[in-house]
Amino acid sequence: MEKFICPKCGNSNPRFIGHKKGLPYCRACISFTGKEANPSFSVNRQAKLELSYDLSLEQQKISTGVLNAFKAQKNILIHAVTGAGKTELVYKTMEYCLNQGLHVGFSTPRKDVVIDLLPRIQSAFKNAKVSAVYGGKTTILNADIIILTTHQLYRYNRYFDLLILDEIDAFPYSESEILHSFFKKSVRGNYILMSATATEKDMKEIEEDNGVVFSLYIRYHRNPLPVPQITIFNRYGLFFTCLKKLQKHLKMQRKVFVFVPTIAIGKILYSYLSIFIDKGAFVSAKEEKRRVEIEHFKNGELDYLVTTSILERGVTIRNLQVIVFFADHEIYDASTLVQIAGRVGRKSDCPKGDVDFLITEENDEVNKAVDEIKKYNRSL
Amino acid sequence: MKSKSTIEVCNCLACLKSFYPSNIRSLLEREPLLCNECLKALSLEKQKTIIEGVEVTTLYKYDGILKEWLLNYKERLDFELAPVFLYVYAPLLKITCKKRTVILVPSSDEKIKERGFNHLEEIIKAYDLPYLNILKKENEIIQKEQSGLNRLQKMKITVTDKSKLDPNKSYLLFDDVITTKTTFLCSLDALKKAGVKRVKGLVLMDNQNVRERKLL
Repeated sequence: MEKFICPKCGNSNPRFIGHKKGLPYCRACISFTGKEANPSFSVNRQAKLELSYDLSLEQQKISTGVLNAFKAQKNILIHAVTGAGKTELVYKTMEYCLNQGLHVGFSTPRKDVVIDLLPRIQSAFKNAKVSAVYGGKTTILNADIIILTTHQLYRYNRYFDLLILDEIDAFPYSESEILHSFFKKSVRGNYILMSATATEKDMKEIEEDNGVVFSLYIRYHRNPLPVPQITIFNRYGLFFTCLKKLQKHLKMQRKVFVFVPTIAIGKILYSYLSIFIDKGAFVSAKEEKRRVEIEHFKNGELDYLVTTSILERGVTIRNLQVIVFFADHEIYDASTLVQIAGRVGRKSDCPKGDVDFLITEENDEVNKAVDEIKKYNRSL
Repeated sequence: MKSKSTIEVCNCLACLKSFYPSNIRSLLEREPLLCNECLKALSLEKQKTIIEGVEVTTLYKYDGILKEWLLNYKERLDFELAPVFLYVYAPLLKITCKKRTVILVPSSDEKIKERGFNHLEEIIKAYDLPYLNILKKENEIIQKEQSGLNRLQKMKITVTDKSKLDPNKSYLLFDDVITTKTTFLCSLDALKKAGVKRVKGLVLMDNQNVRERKLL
């Protein structure tokens, strides 16, 4: 029998192919069906970029470089450390595209990041129509700038002249071949990838695909990345250490994220911490109230959040400290730990902060993450 | 790892991930279809209710993952999902069906044409249960727009082949979801008119209580 290749997602793995009365069909992309965007949407060419703050010298340099590379029809990978101001680097290119009447999209694997990005991009492009598209909110598909999760890319077949993909190494995009093929299919022009923890493999791939790499190892406020402190203790001692560290931070009126590897551990830790300290909450992908709790935390009603990896990316909060509980758990790899450490000191008015890794034994990934952060700081 | 080498990798039918079934599962199940997470996510709830004097067994709660699977199966036409729905209850049903024959609640011809398969038939077929597909729906009314009473009068369900029905035998009327129970009641009526005395109902999920709760 002839080999079946799904016309929609390009899957040819027989494991994901079903048979309906003898006819093959693809099961991998079956849940990606829905309304598709109108391909002949015309963009408002009057959109103008208005930023209320100035970019740093390095940011300006790279931002111009990105624009020139895009004009030369190249694909781009931006490798910039956490808190370097990656999003701002592509504004210039986005403005250029809008003025040319091209379709612009900004995609990321995480829904929470999309929700956080919407007001930021809207305030930069005040007279453009910006729309967010993610699971649960898919009514407005056409806009000048579309911010979307990678799961919604199937709605835009060969639509985007400029498609930006932030956090390329985030779950679930990083492990899903289907999402990769949807990404490739939705690009008509060129794409820009962004990552804080790009590997050499990523760089090689983009160079083979008619691309250039831009690197930025300095944060926009020119302060070094906070280097994590490692505390080794036994399993039960870590609960107490965590409590002590948390109390120390809260005494100094600082906000704290406590990252936990799994929901089960998070529940135990939160129930323990909440005996001693109130004004906290536990958030995970399974909690329905998580958006509300995160809003409360941002408003200052809550002092600390015990969280799973849902808040590891794209979150910017002033004067935040981070404690990673069981940082040697097998779900954490070096790049995730670098991302988590990068939540600290992102605002220029408080560029420093503490990152604590609480571990039970020496661990390669933890050491690799610390070494990587030190390496970036050396280029300062 | 030695114990794992004797166990073959299985692919979950619903979430498509591959998994190693535990020793007990591979002993009890000939080919495990669902992974542990999917099995856990099913909200099993076997309940018996009486509708118009007929005992109806509901197998699942109307929420959670099964609703999604049914959507994938019926609307997105994921044909391979058919065995999933009765997987947990299959051994039990095999015993029940030694005495009873399943009768399918009819769907309209247009729907079957549109899908390319009769969804209830495939669910039953997956486990080789004895079944009869002898009911036929005539005037199809768009279900969601009509209110309950109107539909009762308008819907007409007939038995196409009465010779296959034996009045002395027991039957099991099978439907996937009951929402307004109109189709179900009309099918019961048709069977009773044809002389069937002993009949019970089997439903995957019951939506009517959920609806009432929402209205309140």
